[in-house]
Amino acid sequence: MKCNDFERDIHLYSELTEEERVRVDSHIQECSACKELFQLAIATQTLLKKVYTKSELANHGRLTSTIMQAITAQQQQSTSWISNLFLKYTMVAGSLALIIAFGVEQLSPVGSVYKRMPETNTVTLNSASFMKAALDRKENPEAVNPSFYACVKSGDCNNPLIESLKKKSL
Amino acid sequence: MPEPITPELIQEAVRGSQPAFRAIVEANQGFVYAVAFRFVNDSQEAEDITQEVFVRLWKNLKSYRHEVKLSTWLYKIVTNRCLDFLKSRHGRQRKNKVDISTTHFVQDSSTPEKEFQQQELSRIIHAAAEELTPKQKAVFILRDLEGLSQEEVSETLSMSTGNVKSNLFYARKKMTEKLKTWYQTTDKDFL
Repeated sequence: MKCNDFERDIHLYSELTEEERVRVDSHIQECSACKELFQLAIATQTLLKKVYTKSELANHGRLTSTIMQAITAQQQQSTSWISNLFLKYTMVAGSLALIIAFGVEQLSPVGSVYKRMPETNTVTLNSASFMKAALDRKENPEAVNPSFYACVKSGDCNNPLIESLKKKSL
Repeated sequence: MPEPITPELIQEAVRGSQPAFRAIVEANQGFVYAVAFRFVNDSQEAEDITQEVFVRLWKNLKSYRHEVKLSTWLYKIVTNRCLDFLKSRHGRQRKNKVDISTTHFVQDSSTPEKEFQQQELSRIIHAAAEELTPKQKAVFILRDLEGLSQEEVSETLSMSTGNVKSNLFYARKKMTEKLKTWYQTTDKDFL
């Protein structure tokens, strides 16, 4: 094997298996150039460990507070997002319910319409037919129960309350 | 290495306990900051990254798998965040701007001349590290500086062990060559 073949193994010496290390060791015993490279690589590793010492955080407490504040803000943001989403879906559901109700009413039979005026072509005719309906109601009034006020006025109704009032007035 | 955290504490944090999460932050923020600083070489950026790492941890805590160590997960988050930073426009812009005041050297300088020499050496090493690709730098930091095993580096970076070795070789070679050149030009004895 040539020196170039050992270059990679020399730089990756710490990653080699025991067998591979023995092979590199025996080569650097014979080759001065590779021995120098090996020593350089080891020296570089030592030097790097000196330069890259662990950097200490200046203020632990301040960073902890900043992190916890960011997390609280994050939590609030997600909560408001959920409530916004709830509001959004509620409004969509409400709108859909209204649309469905409107559609159902439109599709339901005409009988459900309380009163429908006869179709006319002009405003005048329409007014006349409205009046006609009112006059018809006046001429043929439907049998309805008299109101409490009508009972008091006429004094004809058989109502226990009216009877007691009559007795008191006597 | 980060301080160990009990599984019960992690469980409490997963359930949404802020005091439990605070304890996790307090035990691990120093190590996360140190790793981030090694990547970005700037204390303010490192603090910002540390904050982002813990916010990301809080958001993803529910998907935490107990078979994975919390430290491994934190290494993964901080490394990914640092790689994103190095690849970003801002990260590329501040490349080669090594702030010597923020570099840390084991002080064994007996004379001002020696101290100056160490500062210069520190600057050369950091400048050389800035020339590495983000992946080479990540492998170099995790394997050589943080002392993670080859398998841990492979898991943290989601990279094959062959790829880890390859990146490590180029990183070590580049650093050795830079230092050799510097020692040759300054007529100083490297070995």
